[in-house]
Amino acid sequence: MKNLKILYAEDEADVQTIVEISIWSTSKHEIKTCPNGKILLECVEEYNPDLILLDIMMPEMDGPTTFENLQANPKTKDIPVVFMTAKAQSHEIEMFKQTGVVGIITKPFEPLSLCKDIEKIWDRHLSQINA
Amino acid sequence: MRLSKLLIIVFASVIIFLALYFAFDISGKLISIYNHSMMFKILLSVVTVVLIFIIYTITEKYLLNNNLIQLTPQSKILEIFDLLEDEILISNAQDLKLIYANESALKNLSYTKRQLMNKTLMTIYSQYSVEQIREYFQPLITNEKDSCVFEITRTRKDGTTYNVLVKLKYYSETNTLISVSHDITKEKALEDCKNQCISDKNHFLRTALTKISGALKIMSSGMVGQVPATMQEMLNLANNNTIELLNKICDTNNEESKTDT
Repeated sequence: MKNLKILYAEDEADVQTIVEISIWSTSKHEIKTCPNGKILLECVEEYNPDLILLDIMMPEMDGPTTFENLQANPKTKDIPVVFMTAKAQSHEIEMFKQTGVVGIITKPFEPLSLCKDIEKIWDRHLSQINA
Repeated sequence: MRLSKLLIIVFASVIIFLALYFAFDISGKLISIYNHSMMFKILLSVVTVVLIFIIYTITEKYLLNNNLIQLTPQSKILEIFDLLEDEILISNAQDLKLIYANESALKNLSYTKRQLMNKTLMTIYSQYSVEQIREYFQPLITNEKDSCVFEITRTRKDGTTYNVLVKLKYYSETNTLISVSHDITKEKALEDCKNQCISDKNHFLRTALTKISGALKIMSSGMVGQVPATMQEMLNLANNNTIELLNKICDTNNEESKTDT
């Protein structure tokens, strides 16, 4: 498993902290956080992440709109995106799945296994690409 | 009392009175009613009154039955349909041509009777294909179902749409489809509003619990420094209660709460 470069958009500073500590404490993955989707779009090309984590509800630009913008850009359309959301009702999850993201992580998540969850999504994505 | 009823009773009374009078006259025992005793006059009057009562009762029943029969013709039923708030549409199952639309349906669809009659159902279901519309009533034609209930979107004359809950029935004798429906736009809006409220509440609680539960788990795991055993116990207690609180408040099952990995 290679060390991933993760770009993460989340407006809640406390949740950002928990995710960062979880990632840093349980893996050697690199993580950079942005307060909303708009700022993520501004730094995505420069940071060139392996994987993007997007919160759904954010000010300025929400997760689904950010994902659409990433898909519309040839330079970023192939970067796998994972939604991290507190919108966890079954019909909402189903709706998010249909957008084309590679995975969905619902809140509250388990900080100790967050890395493993992300790695599982990454591995599944790689196997789908190679298939 | 209706005029026809009154006439029947008067006519019957006269006939009875005359019949009784002449019956006695023919028997030869009596020449004229005026020649008889007061007792005979009273008896004749009483018999006449009793017979009038019997005729009245029979007449009443006859006219009542007649009235019920008069209610049955199609024109009367269609008049009653126009009083209903529900929308009623009758169409031919073969060519889907509309045969009838009640006032409520015409009003909501913004058509006049003249504009809508002989148009097909596709006029008001322009968002669907003919095949899709036929799928709705096919089980009725093949006798798989007696009736069916479904939600569908109708298109008004001005192109705007509204959702209806339809109960549909098929009558093979006339090859017609009769639908009774009501506009559920307001109900839908209320339902959407309710779902949005639940969703927002869940989102708010889950976000808050993510922070509390996350912080507690990070602390108790030792990620941010070793925790004394007594403090660990308290952290576990707080964390377990947070999880319990989450499960109780958020109206989602375990499957929904799982991380989709």
